[in-house]
Amino acid sequence: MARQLMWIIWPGFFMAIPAVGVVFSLFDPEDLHFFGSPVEISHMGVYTLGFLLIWAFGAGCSAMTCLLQRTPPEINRGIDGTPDS
Amino acid sequence: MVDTVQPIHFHPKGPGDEQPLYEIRKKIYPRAVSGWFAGWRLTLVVATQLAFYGTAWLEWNGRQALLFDLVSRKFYIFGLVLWPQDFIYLTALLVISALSLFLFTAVAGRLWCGYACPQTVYTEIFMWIERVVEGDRVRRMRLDGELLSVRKLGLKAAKHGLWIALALWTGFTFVGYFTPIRQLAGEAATFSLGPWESFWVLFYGFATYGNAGWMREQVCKYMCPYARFQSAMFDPDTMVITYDRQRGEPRGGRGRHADARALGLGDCVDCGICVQVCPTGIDIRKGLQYECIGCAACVDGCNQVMKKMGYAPGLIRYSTENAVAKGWNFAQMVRRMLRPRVLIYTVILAVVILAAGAALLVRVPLKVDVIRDRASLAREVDDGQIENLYRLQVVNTEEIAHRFNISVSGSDDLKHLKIISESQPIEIGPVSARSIMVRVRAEPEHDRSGSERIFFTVKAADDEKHMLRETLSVTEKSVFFIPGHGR
Repeated sequence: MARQLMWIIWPGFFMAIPAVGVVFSLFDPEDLHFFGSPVEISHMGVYTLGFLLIWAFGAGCSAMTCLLQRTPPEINRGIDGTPDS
Repeated sequence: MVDTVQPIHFHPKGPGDEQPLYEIRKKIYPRAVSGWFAGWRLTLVVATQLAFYGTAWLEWNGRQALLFDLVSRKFYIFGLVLWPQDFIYLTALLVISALSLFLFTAVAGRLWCGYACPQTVYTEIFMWIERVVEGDRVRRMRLDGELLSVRKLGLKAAKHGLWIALALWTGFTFVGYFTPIRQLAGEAATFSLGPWESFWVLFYGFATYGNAGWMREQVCKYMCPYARFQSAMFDPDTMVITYDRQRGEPRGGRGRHADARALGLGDCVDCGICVQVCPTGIDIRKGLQYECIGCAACVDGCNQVMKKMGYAPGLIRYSTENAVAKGWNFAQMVRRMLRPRVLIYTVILAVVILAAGAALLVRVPLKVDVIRDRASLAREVDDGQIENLYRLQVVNTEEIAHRFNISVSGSDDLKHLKIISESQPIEIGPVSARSIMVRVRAEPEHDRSGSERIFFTVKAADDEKHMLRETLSVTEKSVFFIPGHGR
Protein backbone atom coordinates (compact mmCIF):
# COMPACT_ATOMS: atom_id res chain seq x y z
CA MET A 1 0.00 0.00 0.00
CA ALA A 2 2.75 2.43 0.98
CA ARG A 3 4.55 1.52 -2.20
CA GLN A 4 1.47 2.20 -4.29
CA LEU A 5 1.16 5.56 -2.61
CA MET A 6 4.75 6.27 -3.69
CA TRP A 7 3.88 5.32 -7.27
CA ILE A 8 0.92 7.66 -7.20
CA ILE A 9 2.41 10.69 -5.47
CA TRP A 10 5.95 10.66 -6.82
CA PRO A 11 5.50 10.68 -10.64
CA GLY A 12 3.03 13.54 -10.33
CA PHE A 13 5.51 15.51 -8.25
CA PHE A 14 8.32 14.76 -10.69
CA MET A 15 6.34 15.91 -13.71
CA ALA A 16 4.84 18.93 -11.91
CA ILE A 17 8.32 20.49 -11.70
CA PRO A 18 8.90 20.85 -15.47
CA ALA A 19 5.18 21.44 -16.07
CA VAL A 20 4.99 24.40 -13.72
CA GLY A 21 8.24 25.71 -15.25
CA VAL A 22 6.82 25.59 -18.76
CA VAL A 23 3.38 26.94 -17.87
CA PHE A 24 4.66 29.95 -15.98
CA SER A 25 7.38 30.72 -18.50
CA LEU A 26 4.65 31.14 -21.05
CA PHE A 27 1.99 32.76 -18.87
CA ASP A 28 2.47 35.64 -16.50
CA PRO A 29 0.42 35.21 -13.29
CA GLU A 30 -0.36 38.91 -13.76
CA ASP A 31 -2.50 38.03 -16.78
CA LEU A 32 -4.48 35.30 -15.07
CA HIS A 33 -8.19 35.64 -14.51
CA PHE A 34 -10.30 33.55 -12.19
CA PHE A 35 -13.93 33.41 -13.30
CA GLY A 36 -13.49 36.70 -15.04
CA SER A 37 -11.85 38.67 -12.26
CA PRO A 38 -8.11 39.13 -11.80
CA VAL A 39 -6.41 36.76 -9.36
CA GLU A 40 -5.68 38.55 -6.12
CA ILE A 41 -2.96 36.32 -4.70
CA SER A 42 0.76 37.06 -4.82
CA HIS A 43 2.86 35.58 -7.64
CA MET A 44 4.46 33.17 -5.20
CA GLY A 45 0.97 32.02 -4.26
CA VAL A 46 -0.05 31.51 -7.88
CA TYR A 47 3.08 29.47 -8.55
CA THR A 48 2.53 27.40 -5.42
CA LEU A 49 -1.14 26.72 -6.11
CA GLY A 50 -0.33 26.02 -9.76
CA PHE A 51 2.30 23.53 -8.70
CA LEU A 52 -0.01 21.79 -6.26
CA LEU A 53 -2.82 21.68 -8.81
CA ILE A 54 -0.61 20.16 -11.51
CA TRP A 55 0.76 17.73 -8.95
CA ALA A 56 -2.76 16.70 -7.95
CA PHE A 57 -3.70 16.05 -11.57
CA GLY A 58 -0.48 14.09 -12.10
CA ALA A 59 -1.19 12.00 -9.02
CA GLY A 60 -4.71 11.42 -10.27
CA CYS A 61 -3.28 10.17 -13.54
CA SER A 62 -0.91 7.79 -11.72
CA ALA A 63 -3.73 6.56 -9.49
CA MET A 64 -5.76 5.71 -12.55
CA THR A 65 -2.81 3.80 -14.03
CA CYS A 66 -2.47 1.85 -10.78
CA LEU A 67 -6.13 1.03 -10.89
CA LEU A 68 -6.14 -0.06 -14.52
CA GLN A 69 -3.01 -2.15 -14.48
CA ARG A 70 -4.50 -4.68 -12.07
CA THR A 71 -5.10 -7.98 -13.83
CA PRO A 72 -8.59 -9.52 -14.04
CA PRO A 73 -7.77 -12.24 -11.47
CA GLU A 74 -6.59 -9.57 -9.05
CA ILE A 75 -9.86 -7.69 -9.40
CA ASN A 76 -12.08 -10.76 -9.34
CA ARG A 77 -10.35 -12.35 -6.40
CA GLY A 78 -12.81 -13.46 -3.78
CA ILE A 79 -15.83 -12.27 -5.73
CA ASP A 80 -16.69 -15.13 -8.06
CA GLY A 81 -15.19 -17.87 -6.03
CA THR A 82 -11.86 -17.96 -7.87
CA PRO A 83 -9.16 -19.03 -5.49
CA ASP A 84 -6.69 -16.41 -4.27
CA SER A 85 -3.55 -16.51 -6.32
CA MET B 1 28.83 -21.96 -4.78
CA VAL B 2 27.64 -20.72 -1.43
CA ASP B 3 24.75 -18.34 -1.61
CA THR B 4 24.30 -17.47 2.03
CA VAL B 5 26.66 -15.04 3.64
CA GLN B 6 28.57 -16.48 6.54
CA PRO B 7 30.97 -14.89 8.96
CA ILE B 8 34.62 -15.83 8.94
CA HIS B 9 37.48 -14.95 11.21
CA PHE B 10 40.26 -12.72 9.96
CA HIS B 11 42.32 -12.99 13.11
CA PRO B 12 41.57 -16.36 14.57
CA LYS B 13 42.81 -15.44 18.04
CA GLY B 14 40.15 -17.13 20.07
CA PRO B 15 36.53 -18.11 20.16
CA GLY B 16 35.47 -14.75 21.66
CA ASP B 17 36.86 -12.79 18.74
CA GLU B 18 34.16 -13.73 16.28
CA GLN B 19 32.91 -10.98 14.08
CA PRO B 20 29.14 -11.01 14.20
CA LEU B 21 27.31 -10.79 10.96
CA TYR B 22 23.72 -9.75 10.79
CA GLU B 23 21.26 -10.78 8.24
CA ILE B 24 19.93 -8.02 6.08
CA ARG B 25 16.68 -6.97 7.62
CA LYS B 26 14.09 -4.63 6.28
CA LYS B 27 15.90 -1.67 7.76
CA ILE B 28 19.38 -1.32 6.37
CA TYR B 29 22.22 -0.34 8.66
CA PRO B 30 25.05 0.47 6.30
CA ARG B 31 28.46 0.07 7.83
CA ALA B 32 30.76 3.07 7.43
CA VAL B 33 33.65 2.50 5.08
CA SER B 34 36.81 4.38 4.24
CA GLY B 35 38.92 4.23 1.13
CA TRP B 36 39.60 5.89 -2.18
CA PHE B 37 36.00 6.00 -3.38
CA ALA B 38 34.69 6.96 0.06
CA GLY B 39 37.11 9.91 -0.08
CA TRP B 40 35.69 10.97 -3.42
CA ARG B 41 32.16 10.60 -2.15
CA LEU B 42 32.94 12.79 0.82
CA THR B 43 34.64 15.36 -1.43
CA LEU B 44 31.55 15.55 -3.62
CA VAL B 45 29.19 15.77 -0.68
CA VAL B 46 31.18 18.72 0.67
CA ALA B 47 31.56 20.37 -2.74
CA THR B 48 27.92 20.10 -3.79
CA GLN B 49 26.64 21.27 -0.42
CA LEU B 50 29.08 24.17 -0.17
CA ALA B 51 27.81 25.18 -3.59
CA PHE B 52 24.16 24.73 -2.62
CA TYR B 53 24.24 26.39 0.82
CA GLY B 54 26.84 28.99 -0.16
CA THR B 55 25.90 30.24 -3.63
CA ALA B 56 22.63 31.71 -2.40
CA TRP B 57 24.62 34.18 -0.30
CA LEU B 58 26.95 35.39 -3.09
CA GLU B 59 26.50 38.92 -4.37
CA TRP B 60 26.96 40.26 -7.88
CA ASN B 61 26.44 43.87 -9.03
CA GLY B 62 24.87 44.62 -5.66
CA ARG B 63 22.24 41.90 -5.97
CA GLN B 64 22.07 38.19 -5.30
CA ALA B 65 24.35 36.41 -7.78
CA LEU B 66 22.02 33.48 -8.43
CA LEU B 67 18.37 34.33 -8.07
CA PHE B 68 15.36 32.94 -9.86
CA ASP B 69 13.14 35.89 -9.15
CA LEU B 70 9.72 34.43 -9.73
CA VAL B 71 7.83 37.54 -8.67
CA SER B 72 9.38 39.82 -11.29
CA ARG B 73 9.90 36.86 -13.66
CA LYS B 74 13.63 37.36 -14.16
CA PHE B 75 16.43 34.86 -13.66
CA TYR B 76 19.69 36.38 -12.46
CA ILE B 77 22.61 34.08 -13.17
CA PHE B 78 25.75 36.01 -12.22
CA GLY B 79 26.30 38.49 -15.08
CA LEU B 80 23.35 37.21 -17.03
CA VAL B 81 19.70 38.18 -16.74
CA LEU B 82 17.19 35.86 -18.38
CA TRP B 83 13.62 36.86 -19.15
CA PRO B 84 10.72 34.56 -19.93
CA GLN B 85 11.52 35.15 -23.61
CA ASP B 86 14.86 33.39 -23.02
CA PHE B 87 13.08 30.15 -22.22
CA ILE B 88 15.06 28.45 -24.98
CA TYR B 89 18.24 28.58 -22.87
CA LEU B 90 16.53 26.72 -20.07
CA THR B 91 15.45 24.10 -22.58
CA ALA B 92 19.04 23.89 -23.84
CA LEU B 93 20.22 23.41 -20.27
CA LEU B 94 17.79 20.53 -19.80
CA VAL B 95 18.91 18.92 -23.06
CA ILE B 96 22.57 19.31 -22.02
CA SER B 97 21.86 17.74 -18.62
CA ALA B 98 20.03 14.79 -20.14
CA LEU B 99 22.75 14.17 -22.76
CA SER B 100 25.49 14.42 -20.12
CA LEU B 101 23.64 11.85 -18.07
CA PHE B 102 23.46 9.49 -21.08
CA LEU B 103 27.13 10.07 -21.84
CA PHE B 104 28.63 9.31 -18.49
CA THR B 105 26.17 6.53 -17.80
CA ALA B 106 27.37 4.84 -20.98
CA VAL B 107 31.00 5.34 -19.93
CA ALA B 108 30.96 4.61 -16.22
CA GLY B 109 27.49 3.69 -15.04
CA ARG B 110 25.58 5.45 -12.34
CA LEU B 111 28.19 7.99 -11.30
CA TRP B 112 25.39 10.50 -10.77
CA CYS B 113 23.64 8.24 -8.25
CA GLY B 114 26.75 7.35 -6.32
CA TYR B 115 28.25 10.78 -6.01
CA ALA B 116 26.06 13.72 -6.95
CA CYS B 117 22.38 12.87 -6.61
CA PRO B 118 20.80 14.92 -3.80
CA GLN B 119 19.21 11.72 -2.52
CA THR B 120 22.66 10.15 -2.03
CA VAL B 121 24.27 13.33 -0.78
CA TYR B 122 21.63 14.09 1.86
CA THR B 123 21.45 10.44 2.89
CA GLU B 124 25.24 10.55 3.44
CA ILE B 125 24.95 13.68 5.56
CA PHE B 126 22.01 12.31 7.56
CA MET B 127 23.83 9.01 8.09
CA TRP B 128 26.89 10.91 9.26
CA ILE B 129 24.74 12.71 11.86
CA GLU B 130 23.24 9.37 12.84
CA ARG B 131 26.73 7.86 13.25
CA VAL B 132 27.92 10.78 15.37
CA VAL B 133 24.87 10.63 17.67
CA GLU B 134 24.09 6.92 17.85
CA GLY B 135 27.43 5.33 17.10
CA ASP B 136 28.58 2.77 14.54
CA ARG B 137 26.52 0.09 12.84
CA VAL B 138 26.59 -2.43 15.67
CA ARG B 139 25.68 0.20 18.29
CA ARG B 140 22.82 1.48 16.14
CA MET B 141 21.40 -1.99 15.71
CA ARG B 142 21.72 -2.65 19.44
CA LEU B 143 20.06 0.68 20.26
CA ASP B 144 17.12 -0.05 17.98
CA GLY B 145 16.69 -3.43 19.66
CA GLU B 146 16.65 -1.92 23.15
CA LEU B 147 13.53 -1.08 25.07
CA LEU B 148 12.71 2.59 25.34
CA SER B 149 14.87 4.23 27.97
CA VAL B 150 15.84 7.78 28.86
CA ARG B 151 19.16 7.28 27.10
CA LYS B 152 17.50 5.93 23.95
CA LEU B 153 14.94 8.71 23.96
CA GLY B 154 17.69 11.30 24.37
CA LEU B 155 19.76 9.90 21.52
CA LYS B 156 16.77 9.64 19.20
CA ALA B 157 15.62 13.16 20.09
CA ALA B 158 19.11 14.53 19.46
CA LYS B 159 19.33 12.77 16.10
CA HIS B 160 15.94 13.89 14.89
CA GLY B 161 16.52 17.39 16.23
CA LEU B 162 19.72 17.71 14.23
CA TRP B 163 18.06 16.19 11.18
CA ILE B 164 15.14 18.62 11.37
CA ALA B 165 17.45 21.60 11.88
CA LEU B 166 19.48 20.65 8.81
CA ALA B 167 16.32 19.95 6.82
CA LEU B 168 14.87 23.35 7.69
CA TRP B 169 18.11 25.07 6.74
CA THR B 170 18.03 23.18 3.45
CA GLY B 171 14.43 24.28 2.85
CA PHE B 172 15.32 27.84 3.72
CA THR B 173 18.27 27.82 1.30
CA PHE B 174 16.07 26.36 -1.42
CA VAL B 175 13.52 29.15 -1.05
CA GLY B 176 16.45 31.60 -0.93
CA TYR B 177 17.05 30.92 -4.62
CA PHE B 178 13.58 32.22 -5.46
CA THR B 179 13.16 35.02 -2.94
CA PRO B 180 16.25 37.14 -2.09
CA ILE B 181 17.86 35.16 0.72
CA ARG B 182 18.98 38.14 2.81
CA GLN B 183 15.46 39.51 2.86
CA LEU B 184 14.23 36.01 3.67
CA ALA B 185 16.73 35.70 6.53
CA GLY B 186 15.50 38.99 7.97
CA GLU B 187 11.89 37.80 7.78
CA ALA B 188 12.77 34.42 9.27
CA ALA B 189 14.62 36.09 12.14
CA THR B 190 11.52 38.09 13.07
CA PHE B 191 9.12 35.19 12.34
CA SER B 192 7.42 37.24 9.62
CA LEU B 193 7.90 34.93 6.63
CA GLY B 194 5.15 35.13 4.07
CA PRO B 195 2.70 32.21 3.96
CA TRP B 196 3.96 30.84 0.65
CA GLU B 197 7.60 31.11 1.62
CA SER B 198 6.82 29.36 4.92
CA PHE B 199 5.01 26.64 3.02
CA TRP B 200 7.99 25.98 0.74
CA VAL B 201 10.57 26.07 3.54
CA LEU B 202 8.53 23.50 5.47
CA PHE B 203 7.67 21.46 2.40
CA TYR B 204 11.24 21.22 1.12
CA GLY B 205 12.52 20.69 4.64
CA PHE B 206 10.03 17.91 5.24
CA ALA B 207 10.92 16.28 1.92
CA THR B 208 14.62 16.38 2.83
CA TYR B 209 13.98 14.94 6.30
CA GLY B 210 11.73 12.21 4.97
CA ASN B 211 13.84 11.25 1.98
CA ALA B 212 17.26 11.34 3.63
CA GLY B 213 16.27 10.29 7.13
CA TRP B 214 13.58 7.69 6.56
CA MET B 215 13.18 6.58 2.97
CA ARG B 216 16.81 6.53 1.86
CA GLU B 217 17.53 3.62 -0.50
CA GLN B 218 13.81 3.07 -1.05
CA VAL B 219 13.73 6.27 -3.09
CA CYS B 220 16.35 4.77 -5.40
CA LYS B 221 14.73 1.35 -5.47
CA TYR B 222 11.07 2.21 -5.88
CA MET B 223 10.80 5.86 -6.91
CA CYS B 224 13.68 6.68 -9.20
CA PRO B 225 12.97 6.34 -12.92
CA TYR B 226 16.66 6.57 -13.79
CA ALA B 227 17.38 3.24 -12.07
CA ARG B 228 14.75 1.60 -14.22
CA PHE B 229 16.08 2.57 -17.60
CA GLN B 230 19.77 2.25 -16.82
CA SER B 231 19.89 -0.99 -18.81
CA ALA B 232 19.05 1.00 -21.93
CA MET B 233 22.22 3.02 -21.45
CA PHE B 234 24.55 0.21 -20.40
CA ASP B 235 26.43 -2.03 -22.79
CA PRO B 236 29.17 -4.65 -22.27
CA ASP B 237 31.80 -1.88 -22.33
CA THR B 238 30.21 0.24 -19.62
CA MET B 239 32.27 0.47 -16.47
CA VAL B 240 30.22 -0.74 -13.52
CA ILE B 241 30.92 -2.12 -10.07
CA THR B 242 31.84 -5.70 -10.81
CA TYR B 243 32.69 -8.71 -8.70
CA ASP B 244 35.40 -10.77 -10.38
CA ARG B 245 33.70 -14.12 -10.11
CA GLN B 246 36.54 -16.04 -11.76
CA ARG B 247 38.99 -14.78 -9.22
CA GLY B 248 36.71 -14.91 -6.20
CA GLU B 249 34.99 -18.27 -6.52
CA PRO B 250 34.68 -20.65 -4.88
CA ARG B 251 34.36 -18.32 -1.94
CA GLY B 252 34.94 -19.42 1.60
CA GLY B 253 36.57 -18.67 4.94
CA ARG B 254 40.17 -19.50 5.56
CA GLY B 255 42.97 -18.65 7.95
CA ARG B 256 45.03 -15.60 7.24
CA HIS B 257 48.11 -17.54 6.16
CA ALA B 258 46.32 -20.48 4.62
CA ASP B 259 47.07 -21.41 1.04
CA ALA B 260 43.75 -20.73 -0.65
CA ARG B 261 44.61 -22.65 -3.78
CA ALA B 262 45.53 -25.72 -1.76
CA LEU B 263 42.14 -25.45 -0.06
CA GLY B 264 40.51 -25.16 -3.46
CA LEU B 265 39.27 -21.63 -2.74
CA GLY B 266 39.13 -18.41 -4.73
CA ASP B 267 40.06 -14.99 -3.33
CA CYS B 268 36.66 -14.18 -1.82
CA VAL B 269 36.91 -14.80 1.92
CA ASP B 270 33.13 -14.49 2.19
CA CYS B 271 33.35 -11.95 5.00
CA GLY B 272 30.19 -10.18 3.89
CA ILE B 273 31.71 -6.72 4.23
CA CYS B 274 30.53 -5.84 0.73
CA VAL B 275 26.97 -6.54 1.81
CA GLN B 276 27.28 -4.72 5.14
CA VAL B 277 28.51 -1.49 3.60
CA CYS B 278 25.94 -1.45 0.80
CA PRO B 279 23.47 1.40 1.27
CA THR B 280 20.84 -0.45 -0.76
CA GLY B 281 21.51 -3.78 0.95
CA ILE B 282 22.39 -5.89 -2.09
CA ASP B 283 25.07 -8.54 -2.60
CA ILE B 284 27.15 -7.33 -5.52
CA ARG B 285 28.57 -10.84 -5.90
CA LYS B 286 25.29 -11.90 -7.47
CA GLY B 287 26.09 -9.62 -10.39
CA LEU B 288 24.91 -6.18 -11.43
CA GLN B 289 21.48 -5.36 -10.04
CA TYR B 290 19.26 -2.39 -10.68
CA GLU B 291 19.46 -1.46 -6.99
CA CYS B 292 23.20 -0.76 -7.29
CA ILE B 293 23.70 2.99 -7.17
CA GLY B 294 27.38 2.69 -8.10
CA CYS B 295 28.66 4.21 -4.87
CA ALA B 296 31.65 1.83 -4.75
CA ALA B 297 31.39 1.38 -0.98
CA CYS B 298 31.78 -2.37 -1.54
CA VAL B 299 34.94 -1.73 -3.58
CA ASP B 300 36.51 0.16 -0.67
CA GLY B 301 35.31 -2.43 1.84
CA CYS B 302 36.59 -5.39 -0.14
CA ASN B 303 39.95 -3.75 -0.87
CA GLN B 304 40.52 -3.29 2.87
CA VAL B 305 39.90 -6.98 3.43
CA MET B 306 42.11 -7.96 0.51
CA LYS B 307 44.89 -5.86 1.99
CA LYS B 308 44.51 -7.51 5.39
CA MET B 309 44.65 -10.90 3.73
CA GLY B 310 47.69 -9.91 1.69
CA TYR B 311 45.81 -10.34 -1.61
CA ALA B 312 45.81 -7.96 -4.54
CA PRO B 313 43.01 -5.37 -4.45
CA GLY B 314 40.24 -5.23 -7.02
CA LEU B 315 38.25 -8.40 -6.38
CA ILE B 316 35.34 -5.98 -6.58
CA ARG B 317 36.22 -3.08 -8.86
CA TYR B 318 35.06 -0.72 -11.57
CA SER B 319 35.23 -2.83 -14.67
CA THR B 320 33.28 -3.76 -17.77
CA GLU B 321 31.56 -6.98 -18.66
CA ASN B 322 33.94 -7.47 -21.58
CA ALA B 323 37.05 -6.66 -19.53
CA VAL B 324 36.19 -9.21 -16.86
CA ALA B 325 35.21 -11.88 -19.36
CA LYS B 326 38.26 -11.41 -21.55
CA GLY B 327 40.75 -10.60 -18.82
CA TRP B 328 41.65 -7.17 -20.16
CA ASN B 329 43.89 -4.83 -18.23
CA PHE B 330 42.88 -1.28 -17.40
CA ALA B 331 44.39 0.27 -20.54
CA GLN B 332 42.65 -2.21 -22.82
CA MET B 333 39.38 -1.54 -21.08
CA VAL B 334 39.71 2.24 -21.29
CA ARG B 335 40.48 2.00 -25.00
CA ARG B 336 36.97 0.62 -25.54
CA MET B 337 35.60 3.81 -24.08
CA LEU B 338 35.86 5.39 -27.52
CA ARG B 339 33.10 3.37 -29.08
CA PRO B 340 30.42 4.69 -31.47
CA ARG B 341 27.77 5.13 -28.79
CA VAL B 342 30.04 7.27 -26.64
CA LEU B 343 31.35 9.23 -29.62
CA ILE B 344 27.84 9.99 -30.87
CA TYR B 345 26.73 11.19 -27.43
CA THR B 346 29.86 13.34 -27.18
CA VAL B 347 29.38 14.92 -30.60
CA ILE B 348 25.70 15.74 -30.01
CA LEU B 349 26.50 17.11 -26.56
CA ALA B 350 29.33 19.25 -27.92
CA VAL B 351 27.10 20.63 -30.69
CA VAL B 352 24.33 21.56 -28.26
CA ILE B 353 26.77 23.18 -25.81
CA LEU B 354 28.50 25.14 -28.57
CA ALA B 355 25.21 26.26 -30.11
CA ALA B 356 23.76 27.36 -26.78
CA GLY B 357 27.02 29.06 -25.79
CA ALA B 358 27.28 30.89 -29.11
CA ALA B 359 23.65 31.98 -28.95
CA LEU B 360 24.21 33.28 -25.45
CA LEU B 361 27.36 35.11 -26.54
CA VAL B 362 25.83 36.95 -29.50
CA ARG B 363 22.55 37.55 -27.68
CA VAL B 364 21.51 41.19 -27.98
CA PRO B 365 20.42 42.50 -24.59
CA LEU B 366 17.52 44.33 -26.15
CA LYS B 367 14.13 42.96 -27.11
CA VAL B 368 11.46 44.66 -29.15
CA ASP B 369 7.88 43.59 -29.71
CA VAL B 370 5.71 45.52 -32.13
CA ILE B 371 1.98 45.34 -31.54
CA ARG B 372 -0.43 47.04 -33.94
CA ASP B 373 -3.08 49.08 -32.25
CA ARG B 374 -6.21 47.00 -32.58
CA ALA B 375 -8.74 49.76 -32.01
CA SER B 376 -7.91 51.83 -35.08
CA LEU B 377 -6.65 50.18 -38.23
CA ALA B 378 -5.57 53.28 -40.08
CA ARG B 379 -6.76 56.82 -40.59
CA GLU B 380 -6.21 59.60 -43.04
CA VAL B 381 -4.69 62.76 -41.68
CA ASP B 382 -4.73 66.32 -43.01
CA ASP B 383 -2.50 66.26 -46.04
CA GLY B 384 -3.64 62.96 -47.57
CA GLN B 385 -1.22 60.98 -45.50
CA ILE B 386 -2.16 57.71 -43.82
CA GLU B 387 -1.42 57.16 -40.15
CA ASN B 388 -1.09 53.81 -38.31
CA LEU B 389 -0.73 53.32 -34.60
CA TYR B 390 1.68 50.90 -32.92
CA ARG B 391 2.75 49.96 -29.46
CA LEU B 392 6.42 49.05 -29.08
CA GLN B 393 7.37 46.94 -26.10
CA VAL B 394 11.08 47.68 -25.59
CA VAL B 395 12.96 45.54 -23.07
CA ASN B 396 16.43 46.51 -21.90
CA THR B 397 17.77 43.28 -20.42
CA GLU B 398 21.11 44.76 -19.36
CA GLU B 399 21.82 45.94 -15.86
CA ILE B 400 22.65 49.47 -17.06
CA ALA B 401 20.33 52.13 -18.38
CA HIS B 402 20.28 52.85 -22.13
CA ARG B 403 18.82 55.52 -24.38
CA PHE B 404 17.22 54.42 -27.61
CA ASN B 405 16.21 55.97 -30.93
CA ILE B 406 13.33 54.45 -32.85
CA SER B 407 13.28 54.73 -36.61
CA VAL B 408 11.07 53.27 -39.32
CA SER B 409 11.75 52.09 -42.85
CA GLY B 410 9.68 50.41 -45.54
CA SER B 411 9.23 49.70 -49.21
CA ASP B 412 9.56 52.41 -51.85
CA ASP B 413 5.78 52.40 -52.27
CA LEU B 414 5.51 54.33 -49.04
CA LYS B 415 6.71 57.90 -49.47
CA HIS B 416 7.56 60.32 -46.70
CA LEU B 417 7.59 57.52 -44.16
CA LYS B 418 8.05 59.09 -40.75
CA ILE B 419 7.57 58.29 -37.11
CA ILE B 420 5.88 60.43 -34.49
CA SER B 421 6.49 59.56 -30.86
CA GLU B 422 7.48 61.07 -27.56
CA SER B 423 10.78 62.92 -27.70
CA GLN B 424 13.68 60.70 -28.62
CA PRO B 425 16.02 59.26 -27.46
CA ILE B 426 13.94 57.32 -24.98
CA GLU B 427 15.63 56.25 -21.78
CA ILE B 428 14.97 52.79 -20.40
CA GLY B 429 16.33 51.86 -17.00
CA PRO B 430 18.42 48.80 -16.17
CA VAL B 431 16.61 45.47 -16.55
CA SER B 432 13.30 47.05 -17.33
CA ALA B 433 10.75 47.33 -20.05
CA ARG B 434 8.69 50.17 -21.47
CA SER B 435 5.71 50.31 -23.69
CA ILE B 436 5.96 53.17 -26.21
CA MET B 437 3.09 54.39 -28.41
CA VAL B 438 4.24 55.51 -31.86
CA ARG B 439 2.40 56.85 -34.85
CA VAL B 440 3.70 56.16 -38.33
CA ARG B 441 2.71 58.37 -41.25
CA ALA B 442 3.24 57.77 -44.96
CA GLU B 443 1.96 58.79 -48.32
CA PRO B 444 1.09 55.74 -50.42
CA GLU B 445 2.36 55.63 -54.01
CA HIS B 446 -0.17 55.24 -56.89
CA ASP B 447 -3.07 55.60 -54.49
CA ARG B 448 -2.87 51.89 -53.72
CA SER B 449 -4.50 50.12 -50.82
CA GLY B 450 -3.65 47.02 -48.74
CA SER B 451 -0.77 46.12 -46.48
CA GLU B 452 2.83 47.20 -46.78
CA ARG B 453 5.69 45.75 -44.83
CA ILE B 454 7.55 48.20 -42.59
CA PHE B 455 10.46 47.83 -40.21
CA PHE B 456 11.09 49.40 -36.84
CA THR B 457 14.67 49.77 -35.72
CA VAL B 458 15.42 50.43 -32.07
CA LYS B 459 19.03 51.52 -31.67
CA ALA B 460 21.00 52.59 -28.66
CA ALA B 461 21.85 56.29 -28.84
CA ASP B 462 24.02 56.34 -25.81
CA ASP B 463 26.50 59.02 -25.01
CA GLU B 464 29.63 58.19 -23.10
CA LYS B 465 27.82 58.39 -19.85
CA HIS B 466 25.50 55.65 -21.02
CA MET B 467 28.22 53.45 -22.43
CA LEU B 468 27.74 53.44 -26.18
CA ARG B 469 27.23 50.06 -27.71
CA GLU B 470 27.29 50.01 -31.49
CA THR B 471 25.78 46.57 -31.63
CA LEU B 472 22.79 47.36 -29.48
CA SER B 473 20.20 47.49 -32.20
CA VAL B 474 17.14 45.42 -33.02
CA THR B 475 14.94 45.54 -36.10
CA GLU B 476 11.40 44.18 -35.99
CA LYS B 477 8.97 43.95 -38.86
CA SER B 478 5.34 44.98 -38.89
CA VAL B 479 2.62 45.91 -41.32
CA PHE B 480 1.45 49.34 -42.47
CA PHE B 481 -2.17 49.29 -43.50
CA ILE B 482 -3.51 51.53 -46.24
CA PRO B 483 -7.29 51.67 -46.37
CA GLY B 484 -9.08 51.31 -49.73
CA HIS B 485 -11.04 54.02 -51.57
CA GLY B 486 -14.28 53.11 -49.95
CA ARG B 487 -13.10 54.76 -46.74
